[in-house]
Amino acid sequence: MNSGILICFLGTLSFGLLGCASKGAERKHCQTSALVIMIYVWATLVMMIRSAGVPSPLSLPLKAVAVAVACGICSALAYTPSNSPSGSARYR
Amino acid sequence: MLGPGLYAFQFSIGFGKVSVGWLIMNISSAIPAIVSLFVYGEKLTRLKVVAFGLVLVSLYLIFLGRQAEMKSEASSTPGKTHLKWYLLMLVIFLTNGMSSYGLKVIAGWGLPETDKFPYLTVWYAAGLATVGVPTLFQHVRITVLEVGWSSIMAALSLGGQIAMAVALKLNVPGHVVFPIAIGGSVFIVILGGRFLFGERLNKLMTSGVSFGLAAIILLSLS
Repeated sequence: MNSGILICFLGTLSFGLLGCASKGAERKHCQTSALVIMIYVWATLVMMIRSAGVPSPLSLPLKAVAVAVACGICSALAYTPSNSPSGSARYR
Repeated sequence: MLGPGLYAFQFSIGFGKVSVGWLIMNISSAIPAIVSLFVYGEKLTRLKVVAFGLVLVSLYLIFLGRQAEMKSEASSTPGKTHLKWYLLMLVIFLTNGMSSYGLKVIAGWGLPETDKFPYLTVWYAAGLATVGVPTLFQHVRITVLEVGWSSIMAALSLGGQIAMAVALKLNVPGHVVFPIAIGGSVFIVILGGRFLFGERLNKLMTSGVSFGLAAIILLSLS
């Protein structure tokens, strides 16, 4: 239990530093579009590797694929409006 | 944590406080909790009522705090920037919580736990295609800088998730793990914003963030 709590706090630190790293990347003038694409690339890659480890990675039902695609596209739409020429880069 | 709100969040911190953006990302878990009341007929407990109330108070105080900031920065910051910030906060609030709702939907269908990973692969791949294709036409160049920072962020996200999973496996109850991990991360980002990036929150924003922090803890308990 005690080591569990300690690991839990490491998780807290990790997530907290993730937020700080976002601001750090912004301060270092990372291009937001490129950064976001690379985050997607890493996430897809990690999930592909993790999926390869499950017994039947290609057995996802079609309706679940549809939900995944819809949610994935929605997530991208959250990004698109800000990707216009009048996006945040102008205000840096 | 590498959810959709991250993109709007990443844009918003170019002209807003990282601590407020991070809070809104985490407070957005109220949206799927509300949707579940109607879709799954989940019970509206007192804890949830208090949490939803705190979310509203927090958002209102943050709105007032931003208004106060606008007045003090009126001459130096374009009005469009403020409008864009409000819109991005709205996008983060509405989309980030709901992004993970698909996992609840497929769990409701009784699919095996292992289907979660192929599901997330498709989820990220769909997002990558939607974001990547328009960006490709804009001839955005990806440099070592973005590759480096994105890998740090991916590692931190993965590290946080693994730590939470290990803590749960070591029999730390979920009602302890989630408030510590999620609420604690907001607290660290607030400290980071203040001491690493020199972000000062006015009194209204500070109150809003405090109420939001309480709401996040209650939401993760409910």
